[in-house]
Amino acid sequence: MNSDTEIDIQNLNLHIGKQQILKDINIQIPKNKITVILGPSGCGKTTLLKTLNRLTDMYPDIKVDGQILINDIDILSYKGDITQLRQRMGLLSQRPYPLPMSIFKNVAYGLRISGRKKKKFLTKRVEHYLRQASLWDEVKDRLRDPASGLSIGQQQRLCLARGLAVDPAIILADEPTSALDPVSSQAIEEKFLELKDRYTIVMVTHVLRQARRIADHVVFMYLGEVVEQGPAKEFFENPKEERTKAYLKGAFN
Amino acid sequence: MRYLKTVPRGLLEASLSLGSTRSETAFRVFVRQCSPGIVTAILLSFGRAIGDAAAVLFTTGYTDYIPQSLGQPAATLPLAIFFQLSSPIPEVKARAYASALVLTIIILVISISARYLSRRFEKNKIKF
Repeated sequence: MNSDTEIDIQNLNLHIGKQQILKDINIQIPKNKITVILGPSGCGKTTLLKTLNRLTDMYPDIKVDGQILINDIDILSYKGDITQLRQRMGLLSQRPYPLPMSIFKNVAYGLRISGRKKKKFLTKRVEHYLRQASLWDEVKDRLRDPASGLSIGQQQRLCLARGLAVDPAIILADEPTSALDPVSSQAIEEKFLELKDRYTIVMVTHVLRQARRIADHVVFMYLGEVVEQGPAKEFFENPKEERTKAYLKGAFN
Repeated sequence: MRYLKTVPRGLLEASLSLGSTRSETAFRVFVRQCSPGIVTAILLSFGRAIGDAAAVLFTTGYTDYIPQSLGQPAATLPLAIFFQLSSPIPEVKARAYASALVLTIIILVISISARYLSRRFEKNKIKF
């Protein structure tokens, strides 16, 4: 494993009941880059992402084997504090799920549960992260209002701020713009480009154009298998596999 | 029960992925999301129980006295009204009317506060 790899997935298999969802996945995700996982619907992209922060633990009928190495720790067999492990990864889901509380508390939530409760500290941090998610100007006068009153695009940026607030090293994004209008989508994409210096971003999408716009590294999945992976330029300009070529031409969508 | 199931999985996943434990997720997120339903359910069932007559007659019976312990028969307000109204003595009848007034007020207060509280909690709830 070379030092530029943040997440190293080795021989990952995942079953739900008797059905095999992920088949022998081997992926190296580079550090401080945007890795886009591409593929048609239902090919296991979302499941793969959930495996990365062990959300699969929630579902008793999911069986996982293989290795996912982050900083030389295999997170699948990790026996320690899973909450700490999850805190290292921010998750942005397909549609925003703000917590049922005020805007301020949404962002402060992660800090509060990790024991940092000083009011002054929280106020400062909340402002900082809301600014990072370019939401501060829109909400600074109504931080006490419930988050449910925001628009979907604002909610997604709130979720981003909330995710950044726990100070993760990795951002997992599961089609983060699929429920958003073009303007909000663009805002999220621009944010990602800005953030990639400090975070490793793994984004799932089935929008080819989006992948072309922001990807540094691409993983193409089809029916639970990794078909091809590599630097974005090479992938788009000079795909090796037949199935990748077909997909890029739009054959699967 | 059905109400509790309306909490979306994604919300719980979001909370977990922020590094909260299962119990933090349960108490800080799940309960909050459900709170309007929980409050309404508690108050409405309380209102129903206090206003119920027939079912109570078969379980706690009826008495004219204030019960001293849980084992003794007790009367709900509707039962008191029912029995006292059939009495020939005018003072007892008057008591029945008084009870009816008290009962109406109690139920009114409970229903209104149920609505008020659930609307208040509803504010924070995330709609999907």
